[in-house]
Amino acid sequence: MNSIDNEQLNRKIRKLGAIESRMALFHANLSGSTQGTQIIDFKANSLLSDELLIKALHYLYQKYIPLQCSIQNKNNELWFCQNVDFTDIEIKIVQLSKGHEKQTIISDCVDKPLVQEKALWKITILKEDANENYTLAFSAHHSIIDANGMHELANTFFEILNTLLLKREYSLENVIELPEPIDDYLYGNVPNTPPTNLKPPRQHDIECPISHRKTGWKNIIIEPEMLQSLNQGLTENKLKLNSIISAAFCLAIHDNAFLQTPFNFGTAVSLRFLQNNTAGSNLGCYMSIAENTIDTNNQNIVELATVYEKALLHKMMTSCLSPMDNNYEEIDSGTKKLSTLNQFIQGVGITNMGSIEITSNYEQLQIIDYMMLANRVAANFSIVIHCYEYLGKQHINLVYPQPCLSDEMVEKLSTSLYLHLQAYSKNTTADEPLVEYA
Amino acid sequence: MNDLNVEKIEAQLISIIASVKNLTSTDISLQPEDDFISQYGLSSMDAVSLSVKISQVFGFGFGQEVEDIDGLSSFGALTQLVQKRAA
Repeated sequence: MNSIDNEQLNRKIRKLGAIESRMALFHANLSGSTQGTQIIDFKANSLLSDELLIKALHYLYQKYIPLQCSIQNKNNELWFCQNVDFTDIEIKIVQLSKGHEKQTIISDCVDKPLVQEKALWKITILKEDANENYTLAFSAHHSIIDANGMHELANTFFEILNTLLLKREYSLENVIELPEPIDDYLYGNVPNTPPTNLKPPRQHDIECPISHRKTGWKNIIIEPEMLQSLNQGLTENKLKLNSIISAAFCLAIHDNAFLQTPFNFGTAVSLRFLQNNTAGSNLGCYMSIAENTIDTNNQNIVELATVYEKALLHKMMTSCLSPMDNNYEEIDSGTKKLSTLNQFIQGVGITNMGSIEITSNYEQLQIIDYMMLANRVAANFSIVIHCYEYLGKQHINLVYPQPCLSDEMVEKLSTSLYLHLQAYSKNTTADEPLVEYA
Repeated sequence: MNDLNVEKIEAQLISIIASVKNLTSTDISLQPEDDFISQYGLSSMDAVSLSVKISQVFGFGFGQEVEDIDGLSSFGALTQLVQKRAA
């Protein structure tokens, strides 16, 4: 990272905390890895002019101090500085002429890294031809925003846009400050050190330098009827949906000999509840990773989910509540070393966002669909599943580094995962004949 | 903590569960066999928040041992665990 001059440093707010520094160095050294992008399809009652959209985004920028920040390096200390002008934010408004353009543009939003010394978010708005359908692609740096913050910003943006469409001015009375780092709330004494053991590549690994990788994704949708059946089983087994999805994923890994059991399984954990209640905002990076070892041998889906759930809770109550190491030189050299590897480290992960709390109906707008992606080109996880429920449907999005992991293997994993969930929802086992995956 | 009896522990646990769920103690009614996690819809995050508060109130690191998680299976199991660990 480049160093800053004194003028920029005069606008510093605070040093980055441990998880924020980790995200910043992952981002800087691993081609934007962990940068999040939420993609929201919406419909407006009237055509939205570029001027109106930019006005709404300017209000959003003014309301949130974190959106006015960059990350600067001063003698190997990372600082948030409030030095970003609105004109520095990358805003693209694109009129779509061909269907396939959308996928390419979204891919670019996910994989093109933000220059964190210049701005920590960017926006692309896609306009479809001859109607009022739009897609918002909002990308943000993980140091200032986690999934909760993403949802808050989306809600605020649509609230602003709806207000402007009603020909009213938006009130900027409550400006949201940059929150304190989560480090201030952590008190545990169990070391929270991510695994660093590198394993040899497997037969199905494809070597590829980070500069040539892209983030791939495959979305599984659980329709409301199946979700209801799943929830009935979960009530009977006293399990959470996240646990049964994780267990199904582990069995899918086992079925396809994707990883040798036991294997590392990381679960993103929100620590939002630790935040000061008066903060009044969900921005900031309030998360940790619970690392567990999963053994899939001789376990059915319920047994696996039960073991997973118990182990996860234990990790959440211990290592996740402990401060992370914040040694700049060590993390910097570790991430730089990771960037030189041509294959991934083999762990898998899950991030469970629960129910997406984004208002779907406004007077002038309607949200149609939602998707959350993260840049995974670093390949520190071979694959991560993003789980969230929106408008009654459960999404399980398999996100992975292409081509390190082949699309064919992802297809096998997703099919197997779905079949295990389907079998559980039908109160059968995956050994019995199953309905073909659609 | 030696003066803790079952009634006192139950009362304090009810107060903690209520605070985690933003309820008042009078909103919580639990018998030893009750699955309080399901009954009051505690999420994983709520369970961790509960562990933080139990640790603060009773002065031991709830959740430090894997077996502690079994204490979340029922209100009675949690009471017994606290009685054992806080002694």
